[in-house]
Amino acid sequence: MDAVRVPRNVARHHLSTASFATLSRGEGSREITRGFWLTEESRRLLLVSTLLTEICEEPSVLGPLPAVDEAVRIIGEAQRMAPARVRSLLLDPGVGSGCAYALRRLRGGAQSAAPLWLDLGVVHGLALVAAARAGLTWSTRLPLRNGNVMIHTYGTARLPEDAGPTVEACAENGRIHLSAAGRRLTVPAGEADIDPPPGGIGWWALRRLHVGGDMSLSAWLDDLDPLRDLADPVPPARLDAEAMARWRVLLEDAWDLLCRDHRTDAEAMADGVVSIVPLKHLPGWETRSASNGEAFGSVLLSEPPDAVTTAVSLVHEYQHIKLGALIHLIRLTEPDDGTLYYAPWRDDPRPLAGLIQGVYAFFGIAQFWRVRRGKVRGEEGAIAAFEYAYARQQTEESVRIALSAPGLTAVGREFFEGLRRRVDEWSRESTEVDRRVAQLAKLTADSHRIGWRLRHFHPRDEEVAALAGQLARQAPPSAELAPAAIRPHPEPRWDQRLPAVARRAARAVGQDAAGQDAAGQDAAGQDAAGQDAAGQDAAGQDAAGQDVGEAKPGRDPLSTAENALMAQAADVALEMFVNVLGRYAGQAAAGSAVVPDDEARAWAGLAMSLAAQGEAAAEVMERRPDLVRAVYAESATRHGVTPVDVATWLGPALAGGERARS
Amino acid sequence: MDITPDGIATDLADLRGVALDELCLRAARDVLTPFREVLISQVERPRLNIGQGPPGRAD
Repeated sequence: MDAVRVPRNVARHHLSTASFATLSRGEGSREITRGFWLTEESRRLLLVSTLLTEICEEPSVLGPLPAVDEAVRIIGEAQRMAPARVRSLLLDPGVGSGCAYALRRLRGGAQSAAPLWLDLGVVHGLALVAAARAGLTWSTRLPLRNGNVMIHTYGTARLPEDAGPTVEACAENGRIHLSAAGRRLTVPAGEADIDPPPGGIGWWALRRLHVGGDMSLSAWLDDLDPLRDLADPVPPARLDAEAMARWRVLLEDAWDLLCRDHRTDAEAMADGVVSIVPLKHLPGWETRSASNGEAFGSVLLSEPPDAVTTAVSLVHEYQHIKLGALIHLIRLTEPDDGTLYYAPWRDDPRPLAGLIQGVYAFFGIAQFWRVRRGKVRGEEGAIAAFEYAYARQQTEESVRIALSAPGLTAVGREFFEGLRRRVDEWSRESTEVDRRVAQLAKLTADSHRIGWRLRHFHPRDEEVAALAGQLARQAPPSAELAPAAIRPHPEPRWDQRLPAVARRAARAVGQDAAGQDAAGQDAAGQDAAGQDAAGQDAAGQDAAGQDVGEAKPGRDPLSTAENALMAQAADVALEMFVNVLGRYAGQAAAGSAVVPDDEARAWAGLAMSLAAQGEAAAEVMERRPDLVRAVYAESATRHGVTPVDVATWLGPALAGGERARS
Repeated sequence: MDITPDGIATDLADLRGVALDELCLRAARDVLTPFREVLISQVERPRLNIGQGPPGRAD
């Protein structure tokens, strides 16, 4: 196919109303994925040509690298010679993230101690591989990054320390040859690695995982590309054979699960996920995942514990990938005005553009668990029900927050209205979640929201002083309260205990149900000793309450109070939380606007205990815990009031119309 | 931007199949300026590696 010239009046891509409607319902399809590859081709050509153009305007930025004109010429020639093969190269996720980073550095948007030309050399590497794919003969010089050079879609050459800053590279008869300081390497055509001979050049090949039967998934397991993370370059992190084998099994099992139970998602992802970047697992953290809008088709993921987590992580990230491609086409948000919002899955306040990414991703997560809870029973079923109830609540809340934001464009509003309609449909479904599991999910979601407000909301000092004075005089509070100011807590992460404990308790509910089933079967003459024991364990944990979260009664009153709350002993919990908060009154009075993690847990617990008992003070505690805390801090040591006293007293003022943006 | 029965006219130029050397010519550069401005606003957004940002899900 001959390449066409740029028309005088450039045509724009059109997005069909059907595709927009499907995407706004949080869904995807094979056709939409294929359409995104077409639009991403345009986006990638625009990115690479912008980078090349800006380098041409300031050729000195290339340092020891050859002028870029020859790279431009050879890529164009390669496109005309082998359009499909060069197109697939251009669409490689690493080409996107590498060129985006180079452009960001060129324009001063990314800082690095490395010389600029090192990152701009991505265009020379791109031209080299394009020439090789088209069977052209062409030579250039490539920069070395810590002795390594990435050859996109092939792998990484590893040169000795004395190789210098660059390596000579040549494409000839479809092969790539590298040479530096008298050493040579012909890049292998397959996935074979080459151990570096003494003083010579070694090679790590990019490796591909191919899984599935009638519908397959084929993706790089990219442990090499320096630009495979979200922003700055990172060194290779070569997986050994055992790790590769674990990833293969995880992906095979996850893909089987998706093809069997989540067919539409699998169809959309089959051509849409082309690279998986393994992230280092951080002990103590859950599975981490991410995706980069400049690297369409790439998923970053730490090694998940099981196939289900792998599957839901792929669904989650593919939501981001779809939304990233859509945002390349249409603006869903106005330029950032600095307003920060509550995102129920994040401990830190988020700008609108970040919030909507999470809304879309968590819709996918909720949908995954919604389907899964109908496929599994017992303990797994209870976990699926908990995750669905939790993610649905997060999605419902965040869709509402997004739709209330003035920064959504008209199209953005239309888009998220579609998502809201879908979530509303879920809430009308007849299959409801087990009441105990739903309650655990609600406590988890409520706790996070209240803790978030406490950590990031700040009342005005003069208002706190005035209210404390009114409370001391036993006068009613000011009729009108100012909204809280949002100032991010210095520590982005809030160390909570409740989500893990709630998940454990949900699992116990499932064990309990399995035990009851088994008891019924036992009565019918079937052997169910194992399940029965599980049921008894779960019942014991539930009854004891404290056992659920491994708290040590008497030694950790905060955890004990949380356990009592989850065991639905709200009156006991309330008293415990009040006692815990008494210990913090002096610290808060000393003027600390930074809320310690455990104090935030105690305030959230108190608010939820009040709500569980139907106390009117609960609403004040939920809406403005920051204000209750501040007035309590000013009043507790002098007037002997409790947090509940303060919240109860503030109630009429908040009923008067205070508005909190979250 | 309006949603019509024909769909949505997007902010992205349809450049499929165009060779990069053509896109780097002066005339093309001028025509593509508004599209490049959109692209640069998207690319220049500050960002962190996942290991440097908040742990957990990075949205």
